Amino acid sequence: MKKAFPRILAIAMALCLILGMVPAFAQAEKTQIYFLMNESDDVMRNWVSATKDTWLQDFPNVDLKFEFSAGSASEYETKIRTMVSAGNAPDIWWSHGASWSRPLIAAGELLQLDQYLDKLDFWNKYVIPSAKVASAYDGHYYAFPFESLLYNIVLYNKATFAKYNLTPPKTMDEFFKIVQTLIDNKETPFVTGASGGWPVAAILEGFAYSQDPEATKKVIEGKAKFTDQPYTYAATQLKKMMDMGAFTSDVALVSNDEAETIFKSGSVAMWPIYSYALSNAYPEMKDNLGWFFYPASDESGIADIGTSLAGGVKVDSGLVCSASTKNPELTASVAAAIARSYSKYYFEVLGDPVIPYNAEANGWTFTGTRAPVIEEFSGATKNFKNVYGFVQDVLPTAAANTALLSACTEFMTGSLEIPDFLEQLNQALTAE
Amino acid sequence: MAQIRSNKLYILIFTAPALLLFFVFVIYPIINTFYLGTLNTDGISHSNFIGIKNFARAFADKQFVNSNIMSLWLALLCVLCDSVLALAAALALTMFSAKFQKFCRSAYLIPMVLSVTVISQMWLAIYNSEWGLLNHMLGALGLTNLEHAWLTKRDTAMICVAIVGMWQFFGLYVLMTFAGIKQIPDSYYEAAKIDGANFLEVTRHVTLPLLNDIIKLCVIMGLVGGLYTFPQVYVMTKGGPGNMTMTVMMYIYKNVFYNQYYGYGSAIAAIVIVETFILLYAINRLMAREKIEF
Repeated sequence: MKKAFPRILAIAMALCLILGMVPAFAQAEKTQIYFLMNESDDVMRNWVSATKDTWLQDFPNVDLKFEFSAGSASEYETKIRTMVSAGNAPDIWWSHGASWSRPLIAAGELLQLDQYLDKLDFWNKYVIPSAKVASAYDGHYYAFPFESLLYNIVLYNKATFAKYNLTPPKTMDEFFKIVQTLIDNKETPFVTGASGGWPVAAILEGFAYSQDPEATKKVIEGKAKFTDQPYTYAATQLKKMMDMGAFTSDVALVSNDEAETIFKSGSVAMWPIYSYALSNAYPEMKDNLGWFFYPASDESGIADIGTSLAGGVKVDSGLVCSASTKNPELTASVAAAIARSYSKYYFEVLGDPVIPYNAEANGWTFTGTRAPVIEEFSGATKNFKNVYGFVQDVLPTAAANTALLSACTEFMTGSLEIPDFLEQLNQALTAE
Repeated sequence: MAQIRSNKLYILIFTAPALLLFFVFVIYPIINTFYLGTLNTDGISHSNFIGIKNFARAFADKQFVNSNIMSLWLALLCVLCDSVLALAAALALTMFSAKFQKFCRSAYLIPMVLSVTVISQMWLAIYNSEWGLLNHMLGALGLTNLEHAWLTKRDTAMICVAIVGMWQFFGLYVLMTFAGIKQIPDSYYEAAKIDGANFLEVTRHVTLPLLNDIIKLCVIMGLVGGLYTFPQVYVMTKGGPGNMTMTVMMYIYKNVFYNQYYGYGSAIAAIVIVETFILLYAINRLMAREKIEF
């Protein structure tokens, strides 16, 4: 017995070792793909929990490690950049735009997707033409379109408007009358996530486009400056709103998530934001949710309202793959499937048709009743004539982006005069 | 012990693990920071050597100069508030009963066991201009004219953020000073009492000289803590709105991680390291005293 015991122990240990390695052998046949995602909002969380199990339907040999990265988009970006510079990049991640992608493309860290896209016949089969155009950089493609198409609009609370017999404004005069009426009745007209900077840039663009439909494009292409008339006009209108007390207190410290919560709670009347928020706010606000385009400066511009605005398919934005991924073709195929899944969720579950994919060609159907506001907005997109990317997304460098957003946030404290603010924006453009 | 001390091999063997860790996690990163400061790099693409250009750029950079001045000012404030006030609080504490002292010692520790994130969020709620506790209290006291947008006005934003860190570690300084006072033998105080010294004279001629090392430690910790203020800034304002609460640490973070100026951010960090050494040297010189054994 004394001799047998060590043998039994040795056999047991060996068996344990072998049995323990079986899953490892089984795993060894699978390709591991690491997907790090930004936990940006409720829709993102719901999409993941509803569809995660379906992502790998066509990829039985993939072992997907999925992780959510909490925090803002810039914190997610910082995390990705740090991982890339440490040589530990995820296989797939979400790039929010040009200032994110271009330095990584220049460094050869992003997988060029041209050949995989061709193999999948991706552009012809699945994607709307404008998404293809926006995804091209230097004649190549690096991202699978992912986000729903975003446009610059103002959301409003219909109940609050109805209470004071207000209707969406067509001119700036009407706009300021609404603001004044709300203030006079002790209502807070606006909330915005000014701490992030980009919602402030969105307001500026909203006003600037009423002066020149190519206001941002000209600035980015070096044909104009922020100190020129369109942005001076925009900053003047925004300053006027601030001076009237149109925003929530400490607005410069409010994040976009907080702004969304405040607006949905009904405690403010309007929220200038991108059109994605229609899908986010509708489930809670239902028929109280309304939207309008930024008003024209005067009656002569009313006919052009809703024809020129910032937004569309974000440039170089979408799911991107690391150049160092072990199996590029497989990673690209998985990324494509996940990217499509997100738009499918928007279309089929949220009933939002404003997506970068061609729903019909993808075989997606929506059987429910579409939210009236989303239906209405979807119809309005057909009138778009002049759409150009959001200013922070089309800036060429991360430093330019940071400087612009920082100036926008500071402006909302009221401590910057308009000329100084616009000059800071000009300087942001020159950041290398 | 003397035998071990005389054997350098033993000393090397016993301290090797700690030295190795110190080298890997302190010395090497410092050296590497200076090296990175000489590169033009975004941390991702190819880098090139540019000598002292990043350092020269830093001194011409108004934002760096401003954030550095802001941090030095914070360091001074931390020294004054944490070290000097903590000394006063510790001296006052000695006058109370042992039971009350015990209660205070526990109470002072509470902020330190809380996460800086939790504390920062709590202070954000206190400072909120619309529904914050501070403005609410001022209103309740009839001081509505003092109500303020604390974190979004240039005159108060930085000090409000600084208070968070000082409040959190104030107890630590009090406890360290209090423990130092308790170490002083009673016979010194009894002798002073026989000589007819009052409280102020005892404090000046007995307590303070014998507390010199502790005070120096508190000053150094306060100074470094103030100069390196970061977590509460990151959580509360991220250096904003604009650059209102931009400390030098936040500025380094912004340059390295937001702007992708890895080389430039490292150069600033190197400058701050040198600055810290100079300040520590100055404190050591200013507070150098003959060691009193007791």
